[in-house]
Amino acid sequence: MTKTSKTQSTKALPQDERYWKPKTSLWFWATEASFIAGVLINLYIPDEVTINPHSYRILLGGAIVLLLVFYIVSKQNTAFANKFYHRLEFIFAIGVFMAVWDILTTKTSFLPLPYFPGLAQIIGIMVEDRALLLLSAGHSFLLFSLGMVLGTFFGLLSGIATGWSRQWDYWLSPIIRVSGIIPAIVWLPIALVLFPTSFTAGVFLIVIASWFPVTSMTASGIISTPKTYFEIAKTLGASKKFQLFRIAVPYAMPNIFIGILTAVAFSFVTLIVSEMVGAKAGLGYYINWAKGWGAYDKMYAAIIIIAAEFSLILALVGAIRSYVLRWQRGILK
Amino acid sequence: MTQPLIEIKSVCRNYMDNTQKEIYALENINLHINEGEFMSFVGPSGCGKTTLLRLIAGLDRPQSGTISQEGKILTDTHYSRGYVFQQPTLFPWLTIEENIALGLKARKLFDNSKKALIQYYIDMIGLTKFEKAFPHELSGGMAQRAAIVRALINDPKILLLDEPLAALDAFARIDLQKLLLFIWHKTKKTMVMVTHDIDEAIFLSQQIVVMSDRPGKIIEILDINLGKDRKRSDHKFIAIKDKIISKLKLSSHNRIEPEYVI
Repeated sequence: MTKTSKTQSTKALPQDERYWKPKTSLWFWATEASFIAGVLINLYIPDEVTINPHSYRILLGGAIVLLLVFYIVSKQNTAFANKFYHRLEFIFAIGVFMAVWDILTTKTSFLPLPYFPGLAQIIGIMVEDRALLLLSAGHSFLLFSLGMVLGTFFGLLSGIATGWSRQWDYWLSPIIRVSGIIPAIVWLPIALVLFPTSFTAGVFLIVIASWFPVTSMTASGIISTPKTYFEIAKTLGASKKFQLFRIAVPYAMPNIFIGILTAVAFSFVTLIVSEMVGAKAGLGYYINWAKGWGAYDKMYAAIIIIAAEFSLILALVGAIRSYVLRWQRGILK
Repeated sequence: MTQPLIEIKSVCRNYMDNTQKEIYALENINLHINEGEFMSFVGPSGCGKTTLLRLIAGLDRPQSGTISQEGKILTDTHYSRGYVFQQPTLFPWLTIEENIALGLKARKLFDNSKKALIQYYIDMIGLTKFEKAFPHELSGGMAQRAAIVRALINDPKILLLDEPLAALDAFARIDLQKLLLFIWHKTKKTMVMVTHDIDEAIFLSQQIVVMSDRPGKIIEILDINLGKDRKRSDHKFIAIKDKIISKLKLSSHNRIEPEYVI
């Protein structure tokens, strides 16, 4: 009896450090109340602005149901309950924020239109314009991933070359250093002339944006490989090629991923700006186009889509990283 | 007379220090290492014993003189001369079994038929169930055991050990001394070990090379005829220890004593 309670308490300790918010049902009911209040406000306070609040109400209703489902699951699953209860205060704040936003915009027009539309209006337009938004998101994703994959590939090539060989370092390093500090987007006017389509021009710019951080981080990772690692490999009969690809490159992998993550951030900026200026498709273009019509609700809708899409991309890169660097688990926090 | 496995002929090795001053690490070293022997280099730190071991491994070149293996002059590292560092330096991105298999993979000799051999080594060093563990999950002693068998996987003619036990705690050290003896008796491999620890050298070696510092020279080569089961409390053991200490001029009357004031 005592033994089990002891192991349970030691197990619970790190979880409590991570999910340290109080675990009471109070916050659950408060959160449900905040969302229900949001629905009631939307239903019973008359609108100042003519919009279609249907999708917004479905969203709120969905949140209420989902919270209930989570609550039921948390009764069965302790690990889930810890996470869920920890986040409840924040979710409560979101509920309150949405209700207040609704009052300040759609219900009273306190915030000036068209610059600050209500959430109901944004959600509504998002559903209404979903075909074009999805197409734009897909276009942006294609542009981004093509540019990132090519840029990372070239970055790995030039990074390995400069990190490994003095000759390559001598010739490439100055070029990398000078070209690397120039933001990729400045090449846009030339890219639009050089490349047949705005899409290929965009790919080119993202390749440049992602190539530089991957190159420099790969090179520095390979250069910093400890000499003893090579010495051990040599005494085990390793060739130069083996030392490079099986010792130096794996050693540089954590660095390479820092380069890739930086490249992702650079590429997001390059992607949106190049679409805003040069392209005829994509989320950047959509924002610019919506702005031209004064359709700020559409602009906000696109921004939400961008946030979601970029988070997904980051999560994907993060998952690849934690798989490749799985040997680091337990070394780093 | 049979040819020695390693023959070192009038080897000198100098270094430049940070101030561009020349440091004589080794001066006129002549030494034979016979097949199947367990030899230790002892001496004060900076006496060039690690330099000598690195020269034998081919990790470093002599300024003058030659080192040859079975009559052929060494120019580079070779898998027939395994090397173990003071730190285990297992590759952190490889599991224990991948680390041990690395020598075979480097020589493109690894296939499924080698898995049994790797498992044999893992079981031998008591790391069964740690095959898939990563190095950071191991204690210092476990990691060093894995590093030793990693050097053995290529079946080298000679195993060069650079203070392999210096970084370990007393328990792990005794444990690893036994492992080295076990491997030596079982495989009859030539072993050359650098150590600070005179006890350890006497406990393990057949021959002890006593070296002096700056420039590193061989003072004397001692044969240790203590048989297979050695006890540190044995009077012969202690006599050898005293002899080495006096050779190293560590005894008080040969040394300028520092003044300790409290």
